Amino acid sequence: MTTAIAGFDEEFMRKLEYLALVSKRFSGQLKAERRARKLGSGLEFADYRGYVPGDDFRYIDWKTYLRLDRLLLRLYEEEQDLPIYLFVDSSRSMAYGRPTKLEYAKRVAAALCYVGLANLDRVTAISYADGVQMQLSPQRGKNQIFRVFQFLSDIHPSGKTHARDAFRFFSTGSRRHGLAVVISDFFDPDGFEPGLNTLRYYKHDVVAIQVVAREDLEPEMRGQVELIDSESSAAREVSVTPELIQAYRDEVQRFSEDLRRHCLKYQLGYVRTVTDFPFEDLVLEVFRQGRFLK
Amino acid sequence: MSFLALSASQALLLAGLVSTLVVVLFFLKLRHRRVIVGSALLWNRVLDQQLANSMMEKLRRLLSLLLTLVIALLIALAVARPDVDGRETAAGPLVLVLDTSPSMTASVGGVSRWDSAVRQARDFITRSQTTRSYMVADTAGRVRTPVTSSRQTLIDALDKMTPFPGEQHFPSLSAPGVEVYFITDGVIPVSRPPGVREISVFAPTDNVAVTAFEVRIDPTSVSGYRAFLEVTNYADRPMDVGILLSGAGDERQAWRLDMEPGDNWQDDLDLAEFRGGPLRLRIEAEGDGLTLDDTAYAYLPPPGNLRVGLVSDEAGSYLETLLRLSPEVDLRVVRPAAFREDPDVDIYIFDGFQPADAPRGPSIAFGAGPSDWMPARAGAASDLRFTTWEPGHPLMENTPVSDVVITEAGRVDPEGRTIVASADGIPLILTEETPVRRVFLTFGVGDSDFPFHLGFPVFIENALRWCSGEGLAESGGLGHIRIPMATDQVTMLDGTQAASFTESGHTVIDATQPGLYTATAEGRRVRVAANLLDRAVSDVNHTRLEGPGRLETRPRDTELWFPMLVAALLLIGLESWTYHRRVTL
Repeated sequence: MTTAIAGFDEEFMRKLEYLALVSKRFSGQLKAERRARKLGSGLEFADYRGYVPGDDFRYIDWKTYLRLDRLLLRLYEEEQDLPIYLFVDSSRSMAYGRPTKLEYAKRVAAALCYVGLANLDRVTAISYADGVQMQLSPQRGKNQIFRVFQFLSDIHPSGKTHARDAFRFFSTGSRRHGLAVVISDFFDPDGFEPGLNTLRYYKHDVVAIQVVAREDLEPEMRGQVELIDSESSAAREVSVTPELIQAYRDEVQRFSEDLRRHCLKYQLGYVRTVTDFPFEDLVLEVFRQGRFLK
Repeated sequence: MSFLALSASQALLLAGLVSTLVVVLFFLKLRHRRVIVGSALLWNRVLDQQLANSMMEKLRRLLSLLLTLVIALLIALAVARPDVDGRETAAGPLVLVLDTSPSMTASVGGVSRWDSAVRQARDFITRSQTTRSYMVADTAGRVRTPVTSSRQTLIDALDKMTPFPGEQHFPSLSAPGVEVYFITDGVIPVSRPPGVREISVFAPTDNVAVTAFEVRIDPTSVSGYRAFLEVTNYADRPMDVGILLSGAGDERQAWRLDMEPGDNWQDDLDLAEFRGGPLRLRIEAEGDGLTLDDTAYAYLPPPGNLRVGLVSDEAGSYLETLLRLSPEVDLRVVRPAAFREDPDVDIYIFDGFQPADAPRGPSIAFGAGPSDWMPARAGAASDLRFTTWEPGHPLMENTPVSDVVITEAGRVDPEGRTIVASADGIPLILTEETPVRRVFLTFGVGDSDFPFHLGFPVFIENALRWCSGEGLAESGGLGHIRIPMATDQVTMLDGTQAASFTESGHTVIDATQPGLYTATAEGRRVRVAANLLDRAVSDVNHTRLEGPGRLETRPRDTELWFPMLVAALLLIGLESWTYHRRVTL
């Protein structure tokens, strides 16, 4: 597999292949679990119901009719693909760090897309900030991965983070319930709760992947500085002391812990990663949570 | 506190500028480095939680500014050399009075007493306390500063001061609590108020002086002159003295003397061999410390006859006979009826006749008449005697008049200068100098026994010389010489203009050096020989004071520049220490 899309080189593609193999191993074990409740034309028998005019008479159980003299219709569980919604935070705060959080998020999103496409799931990729900025129509099949790459490559950081507005806007359409993977730093002025609650409200299974830059954890600044918020451009003069740095670190930890607890409370998937953490390990961590591959 | 290097206003300005600069630089320094973070969300939470931290930040900032400001001000003000007084400053102004007597120019080894006085005054002003007010003045009345604490004003006044050979007066100082120091050599006594502290700049020196030089009419000759010379050695050692008398031509008369201490050499020299004109007497002696008294000038009238017009009714009168006997007089006798002013006549003598209009030239008039140009007559007086007169006036030189009796004289108002008066104060002889010289005798020749006195021919001779203006030069000391004519044409021997000014119709010559000054106005000349000829001044070693004294400065003021710099350095160290421990910014 080769690609010319910027940011996704040969090395990256090799890692995706590896992940695809791993995902197949996971999916082989869990295939029986991916079954929709909706009854349809699947192979697995589910139930009977009385025949009503208009039903497909091919599903009438003639043997039961002979025994009971009643027309019963055989119902089968319909096998369905899994809608996967990959929300990539493209607010300006994601442009922070080396590599940037957005760059890292794109790679994670690409990997998850690839795995989803390989499992014939319907993958929808969305970039959001204070609204839905770009959206890739649902894709299925590995051969669509290049579209995903192109989409991800076209994402550029802009705007402030208002996840609730973005998720509400996205979900108000006739969306199927699915797996919503949110890849973000969750630095939302409104807090992370409104956005995640919105996805829960629309009955999506939510996985929160918190991407944190090393610079977020260990800011390298001392003395008199003027902090500029990359999203709002608001400035604040600060005298940075070791005590303040430590207080900030504690606050970062507290923020992540709050997010984790929130996800635990509402049975949401949660993975926290730092941008210098190998993304394939991250994807496997997501797999281990069992939400991505059922 | 005051400042030695700057005035108070300058120091204040400096402090203001430095403070402004420091504050500006401080805030420039605090222009924070801009750091862009992905999101300030968590930073804001931390910072908002640390309100106490924020307050501390402000305090730290204030402390940093305060430290920086104090350091900068300490350094800036140290440059201005602040000091605090070392003693009580409640006293009034301190006045330095410098003696400008000519004896202050006496020098030893090239350093005069005046130089010492000025140097001491300058040192005193430079080193003394600055919060006190000072004044400097001289005894010549020429320089006097206001009471000020400005050192520059005082130093400038000292630079303007010079010794002045004229009259010396101690300045009037009436400020309360004033403290006065008089820097003097003590040679010339100057009357001063009690409480004045004397600072001596006396230093012994050698001096040989011309103590007398005068040209006189030779009483034994109707046309001769003699010079009286006197030289005195005031040195404490024998002096080899060269004396040279030089005239306007090539006339020279020289002497060489070995003078013991205190020796006084005199000579009465016949000037027959000298032509008319200026005479200069000069002495030379090695180690002589005072030059002002080494030269003296006089004037010898040039030879030549006066053209005198006698207007008299009486033919062959005593006065006519007397004038005809004088070899220096070309006499022309005119009767009153035939009187017409002749421009070829130098002087008219009116005997019992007064023309209606004043003659243009000088004149001598016997008997006060009714004419407007003569003193107004208000009656007559009889049986009068010469009782008071001015012996120093040129008219009365060598003129014995003590027993002159006047049978009748006019009673006139003393409009001119009264030279001779009776016991009742009735003017008998008056003079007038403007517009021309005139002599008025309020009695006629025949109304007194004056013509029968020995002094009468001398008086007539004196009157003719005085009126002609070609007589002997008037004698004047150095300093301000006042002559009774208003002119700005005052020249010295070499023709250069002399410093002078007019005051109340008189001319005042500023004679700071010996010389022969000639004042000219409307064709009339007045010569003044300005010489020191003052034994009190020339006796430069005669003083009431001890040897060189010292004008002690006040107890040294406490200058603060060094402690301020030390404090600034300590604060810099403290600031560095607190900065590295993040106590300050």
